[in-house]
Amino acid sequence: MVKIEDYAPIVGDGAIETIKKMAEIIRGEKAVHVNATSYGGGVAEILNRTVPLARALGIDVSWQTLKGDTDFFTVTKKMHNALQGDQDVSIPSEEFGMYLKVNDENASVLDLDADVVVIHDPQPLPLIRHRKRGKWAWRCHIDTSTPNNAVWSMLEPMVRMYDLTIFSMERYIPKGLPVPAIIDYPTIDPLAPKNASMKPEEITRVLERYGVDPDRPLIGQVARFDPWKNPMGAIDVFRKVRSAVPGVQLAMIGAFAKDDPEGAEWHERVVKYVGMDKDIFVLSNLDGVGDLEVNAFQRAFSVALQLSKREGFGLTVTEALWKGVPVVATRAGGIPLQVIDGTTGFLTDGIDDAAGKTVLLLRRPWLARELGEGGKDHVRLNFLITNGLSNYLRMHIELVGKMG
Amino acid sequence: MIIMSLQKFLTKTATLEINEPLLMALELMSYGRHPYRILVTNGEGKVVGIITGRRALEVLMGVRGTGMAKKKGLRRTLEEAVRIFMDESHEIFLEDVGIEALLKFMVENSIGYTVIVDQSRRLKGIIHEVTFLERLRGKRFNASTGDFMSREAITLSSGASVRNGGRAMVEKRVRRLPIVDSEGRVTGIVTIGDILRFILSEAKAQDSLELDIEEISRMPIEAVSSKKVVAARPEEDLGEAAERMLDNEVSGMPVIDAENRILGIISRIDVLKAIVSVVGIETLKAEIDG
Repeated sequence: MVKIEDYAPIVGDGAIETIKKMAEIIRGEKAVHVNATSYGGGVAEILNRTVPLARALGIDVSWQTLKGDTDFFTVTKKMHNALQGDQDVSIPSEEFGMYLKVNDENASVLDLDADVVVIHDPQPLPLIRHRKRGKWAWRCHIDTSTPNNAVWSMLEPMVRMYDLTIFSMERYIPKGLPVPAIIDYPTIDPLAPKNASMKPEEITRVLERYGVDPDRPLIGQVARFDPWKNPMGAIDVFRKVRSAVPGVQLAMIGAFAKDDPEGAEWHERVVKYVGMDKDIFVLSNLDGVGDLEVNAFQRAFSVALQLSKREGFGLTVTEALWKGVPVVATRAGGIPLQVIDGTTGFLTDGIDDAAGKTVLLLRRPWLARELGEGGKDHVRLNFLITNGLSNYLRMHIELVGKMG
Repeated sequence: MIIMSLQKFLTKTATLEINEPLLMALELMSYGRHPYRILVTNGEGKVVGIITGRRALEVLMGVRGTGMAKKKGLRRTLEEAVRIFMDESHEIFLEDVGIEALLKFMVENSIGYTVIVDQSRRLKGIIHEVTFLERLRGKRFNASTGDFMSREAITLSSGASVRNGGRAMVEKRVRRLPIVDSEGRVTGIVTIGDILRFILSEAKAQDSLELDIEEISRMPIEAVSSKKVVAARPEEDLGEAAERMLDNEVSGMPVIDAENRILGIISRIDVLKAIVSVVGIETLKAEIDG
C-alpha cells in the first residue's frame, strides 16, 4: 500500500512533514469525489493515485463514479466540447432533461453524505441539487476560457450552488462567476506504474510485443482519440519527419473511456488515416496497452508530440517530461507552463514547425538529452502529486473551517 | 545554447517560515516596499509555498469556502500558521536555468515572477518582471500603450465600501481597482495592499478579542484608497509606461484619456509581453544581457 513517506526521496522530508501536519487537522473527516469514469483520461488518473494516498493519511475519502448509458455520455461529451469552445453545439431541452434525470438516479445510489464533496467536470455537476450536508466543490478540468455561452448558461445556475470552484488555469475561470474560484494545477504520481522507473529490458519487451523496432527511433503522441488532441496533425508531423529521418517510427497511444463515446469513431478515423503505413502504431487499452505499457512507450520516445488544439492541462506532457523526454507541442492549455521553448522542449506554431523541431531533436541527441533533463527537473519542482495533495488538504481544511 | 548566469539577475524577496502566523504575512505585505507575494520556507530555508495578497484577502474577507475568518473569528485566523493558507508554488526553477528560459516562461504564461532554488530547494532569490524592465530603461519601442492595454477595466464607484472593494478584487481576480465617478473619471485607486494594511491597522487598534470583519469593512473605500493615481496615456510608448510603473513602484496602472476617463488597464507583465511581441525575444535578450 502506498505511503506518503515513500515520496520523501523525491520531494524531501519537509514537504512530507507539511502534508502530515495538515492531514492531522482533518483526520477522520469524510470526503467524497465523484467523476464520470474510473479509467481513461487525466481525472481518473489523478483520483486513482490521490484518493488512496489521502486514505493512508487517515482521511475517510471515497471515489465514486457516475453510471450512465451511451446516450447520457453522448450528451455530456457534447457539453464537454461546448465548454471547451465548440460554438456549434446545442443541447435540446429533452437531452438536458435526460442529463438531469440520470444524475437524479445516481444521487439515490451514491453516498454523498460527507463533510466535503468534490464533483469533477460537467457530467455529475447536477448532483449538487441533492446536497444534504457538507461543503461542495466543483472541480472543472476543462479549458473553459471561451465556452459556448448557450451551453454554459444551462450549467451555470448549478455551478452557482457550489461553495467553491476549482480550475486548472487562471484564464479558465468563467467571467462573472460569483462563486469563489481557486487554481489547482494537475499533477502526476512519480511512483505510479505509469511513471515509475523501468528496466531497459522491460521497455524492450513491451516494444517488441507490439512489433515496434527498438533499434529505430520512435516518436509518439499519448492522448485520447479526440479531435481536440489533433491526432491527424501528429501523423502529418511524423510523415514530414520521416522524409528527413528515414527509419523513424510513430506510436499513437490512446485509451477508450466510458464517458467518451466519440473515442471509437475517432480511433477508426485515425486508423483509416494511417492506412497501410507499417511505421505507425495505433494502440489503445483494447490492445492491452495499460499503464505499464504507456510508461514503456513514453520512455522509448526520442521525442514526445502533443499537437492538441485544446487541453485541460496536458498531463501526458507532464508524464513525458518526467521521463526525461523532450516534448514538441502546441501552446494549448497548460502546455506552456510545462514546455519551455528551448529548455524542456519546443513550442510550435504548426505542422511544418513541429516537424522541423522534431527532426532537430532526432539529429542532435545531445540537445534532446539536455532538454529532457530540464523537463524532469521542471516536473520534480512543480508538478508532482505531493503538490496536488497539499492543495486538496488545504481546500478541505478551509472549507470545513478547521484549525490546527 | 549558452546559459547566461542568473546571479546578476537574482533579487532578494520577503520570506516567512511555515509555522509563522498569517498576521506576520500581513505585516510583511504592509511595510517597506509592500511585497504582494511572500515565499514560505521551512526551517531549512527550502521553498514550500507562497502566499499572495489576494490569498490573504480571500481568507480575511471569508470569501473562500465557509470562510475560516467568519467561523473562527478574525483574530484567531490571523494567529493561525501560514501553512494552511499558502498555495503551492508552481514557478520554481533551478539556479542553472538560463535567463532566456525564464523570460519565455513568464511571457508565455503572463506570470510576473519565478522562484530560483538550488538542487535541494533552498531559496536563492527570485527573478521578476521588474528585473527585465529595469534593464530596458531609456528604451523606446515605437509601440503605443493603448494598443496593448486590457480594455476590460474593472472599476469601483466612489460610493463603494471597503467590503465591496475587497470582494470585487477577489471575485474578479485583480490586484487594483480604479475608483471612478458617475462620468467614468478616475478619482482614485485602491489596491489589495491598501485593504490588507487597513485590516491590519484595525486589528492592532482594537483591543477586543473578537474582531468583526463585517463591521470594519463597512468603511467607505475612500478611507483606504489613494487619491494620487499613477496612470498612462494611450499614445505613450511602452517604454515610458514601463518607467512610470518602475518609478512609482506599482505593478499596473489605468490608461486614461485627456478628460481623465478610464480606457483600460496595463500591468508590468502586459508591457513585458508587448515588448517581446514588438522586438522579438532575441533582441530583448541581447538588450537585457547588455
